[in-house]
Amino acid sequence: MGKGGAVNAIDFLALSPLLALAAGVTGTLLTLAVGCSRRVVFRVAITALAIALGLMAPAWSVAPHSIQPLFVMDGLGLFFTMLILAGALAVMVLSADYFRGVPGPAGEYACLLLIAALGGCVVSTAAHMASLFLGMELIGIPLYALIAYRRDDRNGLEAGIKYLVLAGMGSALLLMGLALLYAATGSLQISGLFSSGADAEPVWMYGGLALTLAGLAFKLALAPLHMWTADVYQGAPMPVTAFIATVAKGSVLAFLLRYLTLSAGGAELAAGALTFLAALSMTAGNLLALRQTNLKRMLAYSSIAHLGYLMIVVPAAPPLATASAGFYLVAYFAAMLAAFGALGMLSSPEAEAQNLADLRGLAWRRPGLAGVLIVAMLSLAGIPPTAGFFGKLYVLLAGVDSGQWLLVVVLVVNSVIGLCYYLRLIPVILAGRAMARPARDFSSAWGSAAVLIVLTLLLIVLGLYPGPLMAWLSRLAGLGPG
Amino acid sequence: MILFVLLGMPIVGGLLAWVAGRVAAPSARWVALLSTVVYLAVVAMLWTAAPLELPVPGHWIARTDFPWAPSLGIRFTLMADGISMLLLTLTGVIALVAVAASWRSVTRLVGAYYLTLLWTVAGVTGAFVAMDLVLFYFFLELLLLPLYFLIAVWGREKRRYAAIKFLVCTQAGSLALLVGILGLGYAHDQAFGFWSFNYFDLLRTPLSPAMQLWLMIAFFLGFAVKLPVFGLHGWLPDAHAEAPVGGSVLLASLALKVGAYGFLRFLIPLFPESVRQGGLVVMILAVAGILYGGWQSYGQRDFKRLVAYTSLSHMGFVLLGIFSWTELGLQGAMIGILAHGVGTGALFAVAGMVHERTGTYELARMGGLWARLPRLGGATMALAMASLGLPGLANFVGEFLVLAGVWQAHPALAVVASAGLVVSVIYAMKLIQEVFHGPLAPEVGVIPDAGLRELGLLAGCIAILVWMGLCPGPVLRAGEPALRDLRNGGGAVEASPDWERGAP
Repeated sequence: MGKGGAVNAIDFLALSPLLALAAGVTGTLLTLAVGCSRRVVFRVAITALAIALGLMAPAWSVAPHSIQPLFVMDGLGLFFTMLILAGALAVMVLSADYFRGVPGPAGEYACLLLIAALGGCVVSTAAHMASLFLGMELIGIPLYALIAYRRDDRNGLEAGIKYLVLAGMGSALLLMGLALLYAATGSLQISGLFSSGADAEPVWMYGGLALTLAGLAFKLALAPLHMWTADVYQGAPMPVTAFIATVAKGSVLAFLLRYLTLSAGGAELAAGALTFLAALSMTAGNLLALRQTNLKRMLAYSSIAHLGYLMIVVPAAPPLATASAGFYLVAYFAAMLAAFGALGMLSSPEAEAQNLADLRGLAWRRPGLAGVLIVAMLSLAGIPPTAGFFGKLYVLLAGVDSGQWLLVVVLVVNSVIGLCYYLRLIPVILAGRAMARPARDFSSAWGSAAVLIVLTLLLIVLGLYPGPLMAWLSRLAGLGPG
Repeated sequence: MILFVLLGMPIVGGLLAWVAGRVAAPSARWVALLSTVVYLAVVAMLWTAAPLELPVPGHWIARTDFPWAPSLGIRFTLMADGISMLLLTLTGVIALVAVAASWRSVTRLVGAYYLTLLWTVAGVTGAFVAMDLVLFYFFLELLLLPLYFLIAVWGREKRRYAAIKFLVCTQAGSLALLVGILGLGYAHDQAFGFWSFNYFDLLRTPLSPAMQLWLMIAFFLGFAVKLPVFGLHGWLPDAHAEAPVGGSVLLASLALKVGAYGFLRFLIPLFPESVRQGGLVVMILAVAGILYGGWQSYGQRDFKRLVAYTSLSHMGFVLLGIFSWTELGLQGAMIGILAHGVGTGALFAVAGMVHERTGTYELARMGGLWARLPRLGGATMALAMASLGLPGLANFVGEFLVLAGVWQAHPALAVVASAGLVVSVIYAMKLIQEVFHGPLAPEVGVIPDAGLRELGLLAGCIAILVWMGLCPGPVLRAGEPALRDLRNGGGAVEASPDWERGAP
């Protein structure tokens, strides 16, 4: 809002991507009501996301801009918004091809996914407790339906109910924590929280902080609040899994990075807890992934580990920490989307390519997909020349810089463990010309193919020439929210 | 710029070989061969280059430098001095040997095979000339990946196990190295206020004794796995034995040398005090490696495993020479690196040739092959003589210089290490006896003797070993200035701080 509380043109410009998404939601609902086919609904959704991405440019031009009291559209927030929009666009395109040729309604899917994407954008630019909570619910509620979308699948329904109950509990924790923080500081503005921590009642402050962190840690699937991850990832349709793994987590992480790294008070208060969470997540995630032969569960546990790696940077000093985490997040997004996307191209809603055995001999049947999967696995394992290598390097750098020697050693040990299960896929993919289940005919799925090609190229280009992105992120991180 | 070309050539050559392989499988081999020949030509051209006048210590003859990730002080810096030149020459020769040795033995996915081979060569090249520590680490990792594929796709029966063991073990060490590198960069930031991973900047960084010790341990773990040092050598026999011929050649002759190079170029100059304190431990490990490798080698029933354990033994000599840090010891290590590279590479090639003819690597199923393969037998005899350290061949020069150098530092160790010379005779003779002497194995039918290509390959290697053994002067002189600079504490001379950042 402007000075006198009136909304002016600059506010609209800064908010335009989110407004485009909201318009997209309305558009999909209208096309559904009119009775258009699923393809049309998806096209409307994809167009809305594309327009939102395009509107990032005018939003950048007026950054930094604060829309009191709810949003702060600064450089960093807009970067993460862009990342979320790109991720959502990729998932939407992959979803359109995933549901191709499947009878039954699926138009609501696009609408729900758009709402969740909108929630992600809200969370990453939130400046107020209300917008934070609103955004988190905007992500969570559509996910209840999206996870259980395959109604005929028992796993899907079970996953949906699990997520419903547990996410509801997570939201309740978060809300209670925010309420306690309000009681402690008297302000609903998040930026004021940590700076005024000195003169607040310690009981309310610590209690509120602990509960808020617990709620956020649940959404981020940090151990020990990670139990829901594997089942939900396994039961949800492949593109929804991709969405949860990237956009849903990424938006919460973006919020954390923007605030915790910048307010010294908050970081100190939470440092011990976050160190514990990080170390536990890294170890639990990697050890649990080792035993998995179900690919979705394996990637679920590995995503827990990756979030653990990212938590190392939180106590470090910006701009190094935020820039490193931003780079790592880009690499993580690209690799996870590529991996799930490739698996999705081998799947249909009735029969998903979930098991290791489904990949047998993939290099001979579908060499392109095999290449995408291998590059994605290498990036997740942190092997050059992929973006994941530099992501890990930067995160380690941030850790060393802030003296987090214990976490650095734990990261290193866990990286070695991670190698074992990431590389396990490669011999299976390269195995001899074994007869495996035939893949669907994807000659017309050029949208997904284009997405996968772009993601793979991004992983390799960033792995060879990380300088420009890192420099840009460092510049952005130097001007964070006040 | 020429270093960048040298680096890019195997990459491009590999891609061309792959494309050629899709068109017609045999053409991939020729493209790969051509790439290695051009590589050697460029290296030869580099030898004639004049030394550069640079405000940093050392005698450098080539330099490529441009920013890579400047916000964190990481630059793409390649530089070559005498040591690098010798190692680059070795790389070129071994690449040629690997391509020639795999000529007929690879039938599946020929193009992809040569792509992987040449990209490993590119990774090794980069590791030998990188002067920015993060870049060095990048190439170190980069050469592991194609090697993993080489073993996992074209290897023998236990290839998957061997490949993953190789990658996980070396990665574990490498990650420790990465922590050390980052720690060094952090120390530089603490001392000078900005991050830099340039070799010369890091040489100048002051380190507290505790920091130096920890960083040295981190660096040591990384290089010790690659060399390998006794105790961390578990991956070696499986990886060497299960790899295809070209893979074994590259592993033994190049990948192990990167570990030795790492000790020489990075560990000792960066952490001199810690090395002085802990050097004796490493030298004892080296001697243990020499004797253990020789002893295990004798007991092997598989041709390739036997040669793999000899690698452990020979690299023990190299390690001993490096950590003695005497002029003789370093010279001996240098010659030892070159001699072992050529000699063991050729021995693995022989293993491949025998396998092509008899279908097996098991020594029990071979025997009396001299009757059928006199030329191959003769060549192998010469290579075995080299491996056991016969005077007149290169390995002897290396081992003798190392022992002379170690005698100056720790006479007792030299005495124990010289037992290695006796042990090597035993395993070398066993190899010849099991394969070529004795009664002719019944399964062996009519097999052709070594042809022109094979004999040419082996004769070339033997010629190099003889030349280095009879007149090692040129090789020693080539490496001498660089080794002397390293010994004098590479970072003692102050260099202009603005230079590395590309100031005109």
